[in-house]
Amino acid sequence: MTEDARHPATHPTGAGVLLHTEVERVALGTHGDRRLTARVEHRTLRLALGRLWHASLTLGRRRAVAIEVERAGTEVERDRETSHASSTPSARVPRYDEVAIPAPVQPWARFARRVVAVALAGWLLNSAVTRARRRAGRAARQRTTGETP
Amino acid sequence: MTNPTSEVAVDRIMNIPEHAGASMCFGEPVRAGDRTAIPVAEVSYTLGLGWGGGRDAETSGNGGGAGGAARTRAVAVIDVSPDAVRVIPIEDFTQIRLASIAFIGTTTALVARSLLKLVRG
Repeated sequence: MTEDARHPATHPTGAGVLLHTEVERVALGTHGDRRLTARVEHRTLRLALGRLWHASLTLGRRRAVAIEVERAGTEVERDRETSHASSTPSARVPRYDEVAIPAPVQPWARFARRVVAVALAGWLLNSAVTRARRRAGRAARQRTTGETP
Repeated sequence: MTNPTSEVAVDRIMNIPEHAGASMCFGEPVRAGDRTAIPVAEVSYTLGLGWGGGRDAETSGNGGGAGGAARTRAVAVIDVSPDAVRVIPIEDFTQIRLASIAFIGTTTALVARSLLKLVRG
């Protein structure tokens, strides 16, 4: 690296955040007369910061969000299902039922939200009572000394 | 980052989760009679990386480090029976109980602190 290349002007500071969501489909096979396909959501949050140094953090989560249940022999012709004219009228598309997979309970996130709410309520109550006491004390002082506000 | 080799290494490390397929969220189907159970898991991960180099001739040289963690937990079971396909959620009662105990303890401490402040003025 030359002396010019080391100069801060040639290495501008940069920072970036990228939230990316993509959905993948996974075949789970045929069970009985049902063909199962899962939809899996993959979310990533990327944080990066850098100049001459570089730091990056990636947080990701992969979770199944739904199951598509397709019964054998339930394909329907595309032009019957859609109102607009199809370029391939004889094309057959599978008809499926969707079973949602509920998001798992996050007890610690709920705990954090509740604790913040309780702390905020306590702080608001304390500051309201303190303010009221100060106001009452000031009014009492004014009454005893006969001062006008 | 100036070294092309390190850039390739960083790119490879940061893309490890991309190479793992979505099928890792599902376990092997278990058959019992005419029913099938498919376990479903949630996979979460964190990857961190840092790299630094010297700015001038006296402090030249560079180095870096990387670390990561991954966690998998069961979230549901897909129950395929001749009549229907159902999803049975799995709740982690240990975590729920721990969070409840922590919430009760923290709330008691916060309320006691607020009351003491009110009493003392």
